[in-house]
Amino acid sequence: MQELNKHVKSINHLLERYGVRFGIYKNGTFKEQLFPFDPIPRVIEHEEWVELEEGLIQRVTALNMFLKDIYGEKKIVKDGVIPPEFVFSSSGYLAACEGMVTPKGIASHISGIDLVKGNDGVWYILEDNLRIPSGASYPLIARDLCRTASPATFAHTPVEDNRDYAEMLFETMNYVNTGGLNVILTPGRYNAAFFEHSYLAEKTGTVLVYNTDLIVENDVVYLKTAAGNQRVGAIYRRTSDEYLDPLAFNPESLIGVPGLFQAMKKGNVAVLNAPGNGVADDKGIYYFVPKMVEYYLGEECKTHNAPTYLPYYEEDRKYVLDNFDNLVIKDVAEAGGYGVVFGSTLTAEKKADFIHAIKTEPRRFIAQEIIDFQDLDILDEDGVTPVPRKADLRAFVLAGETVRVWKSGLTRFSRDPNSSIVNSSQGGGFKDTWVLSR
Amino acid sequence: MALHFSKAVEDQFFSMICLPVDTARQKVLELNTLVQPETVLNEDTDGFGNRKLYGCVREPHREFLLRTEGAVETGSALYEEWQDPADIGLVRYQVPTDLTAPGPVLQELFREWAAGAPEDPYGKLLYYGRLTGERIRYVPGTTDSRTTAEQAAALESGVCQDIAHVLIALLRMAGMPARYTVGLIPGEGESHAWVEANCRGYWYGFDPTNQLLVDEGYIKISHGRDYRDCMISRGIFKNPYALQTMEVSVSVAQAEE
Repeated sequence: MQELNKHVKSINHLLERYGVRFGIYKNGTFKEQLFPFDPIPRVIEHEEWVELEEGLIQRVTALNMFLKDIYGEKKIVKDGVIPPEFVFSSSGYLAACEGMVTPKGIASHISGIDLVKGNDGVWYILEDNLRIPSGASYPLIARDLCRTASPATFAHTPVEDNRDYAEMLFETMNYVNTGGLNVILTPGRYNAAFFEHSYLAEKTGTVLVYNTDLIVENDVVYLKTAAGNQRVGAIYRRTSDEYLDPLAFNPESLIGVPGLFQAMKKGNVAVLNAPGNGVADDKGIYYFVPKMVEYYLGEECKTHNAPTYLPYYEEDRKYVLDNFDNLVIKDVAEAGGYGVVFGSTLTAEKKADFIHAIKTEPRRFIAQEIIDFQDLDILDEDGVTPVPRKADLRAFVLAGETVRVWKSGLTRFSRDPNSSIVNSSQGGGFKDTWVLSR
Repeated sequence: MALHFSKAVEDQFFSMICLPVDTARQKVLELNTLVQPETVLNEDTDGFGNRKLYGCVREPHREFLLRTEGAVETGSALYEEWQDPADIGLVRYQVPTDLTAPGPVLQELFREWAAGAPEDPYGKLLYYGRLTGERIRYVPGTTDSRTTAEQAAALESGVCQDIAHVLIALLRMAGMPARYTVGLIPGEGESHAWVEANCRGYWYGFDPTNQLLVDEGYIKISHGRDYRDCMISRGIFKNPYALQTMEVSVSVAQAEE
């Protein structure tokens, strides 16, 4: 493992050359920044992984059942398990998807579940990402480079090989494919994760397409090629719901495929992930995931949510207001580390504003106990000294014929010693994640 | 509805919610739809039970026309019964949307008016409907299709869309399920928007712009949470240099007995 540290500069140099970047929009301008790699991997013991894996499979299974239920029978709402206003006022709930039946009943094919490991040794789920979670390509390419830099490291350590991600993704697409090509639809080169779209297309042997490469005719999607139109059976789209089809969603979208939604509704093409998934990874719905597991599967939830309060419930609201300084407050409408505040860091004025907002719009917020989560060592700027930093883990769960967890994941860390927000859009870095095979 | 393009366009995709549905209030007797250039017209139902027509014109063209003619019988009832194809319940029409979420102006307005509001839900609809129509003046050109209820309330002016949004926001604040409704009124002109509120299980319509109860003169096309759910026409076409002008004309006349 120490061996890799020597190569950190050359690996980061190669990542830069390969264009492993992360684009962010700030004040209306697009900036690409490198996503710095740290050579010290996060290591997860075999037994610990097995337990985590079981929990994640259970969680994603229940979330998929929830999505099918919400756009169908709505039993969980009718049975009073989740109050309807949490579901139907969520910005992720898309009325257009009502009654939609997805191929093989799967809505969240690729799920990115964010976790942290507490100092108590428990893994806590921070959030579920069921729309278009990005990040799998980073540990993939980093592992490749590490393997090249130090082959011996991998010969001597029992690390699960993570090169099967492309195969898992390909199998997932094939399983739901309605007959035709698999394609990866990218919004374009100014998207934050464009590198990943092209990398995954290359690794899965799938066509990388822009919206203008696809055409819908009589509710069937075709890829325009020099040899004529070829039918498309599955689209791993990396364009967000809102921009996917100007006829169904945001009418001003220029990066969408007109008519795609109707083609999907007719069952003529599989869209991974299905639109409308935002209703299940809403920060307010998060609170209810353990209840979903019990409701749909009749099992006790094996994953642990961070202790969460919903100001919507009077009792919780009182607790949140009384303990404001000890909690993290999240605005449910925001993503990517925006809209997250620590009660204790606010000025008196800001705090009063927040408290007023919580009282008037309780549905907009959730509050969580601050989890004392483990630090991981990263190499300091001198490239030699290990320093502790806050880090999380994004586990990738793929739902096809079976639900499987990729034996790797994206470990992100905060470079700022005083921050525990690790999102890449906030300037963090990443590590490889090693799952031990024994 | 006609679209004129300054230059020829191709691959024009369109999606329209423009056909009336059968309800307790109205019965569609006859309906003929014509599209030019000729193309396949597909039909589907959206998440609110509205009828959606969609299709595509591939070959280059400069004119697009969609015309619907028909006969609708109204007057059998003043209300619609509660029917929800999505089986969600009323909650969808009770929560704020981007266009109807109240801000300080609407909250203040609500505080000012709530004190004098009657208890009865139907009475509430009339009360808030009348006050809204008096306060928000009909002044075309002061707002656009993205104007929110809050902005229109601050301007105290707008078109039927804005006046309906303000009334919806107020009714929802008062705890009443309210929905945006698009349709046709007698005469010649454009489509119109009004509000339906759920009073003890029945939807009653009020037109705050004209300060009128929705009676047999109104033909309903669609309803939703706000304007965005009921957009009559959506579309996209290929040719970045072409400018589009839209012409919508509606003509409603009473049939002879």
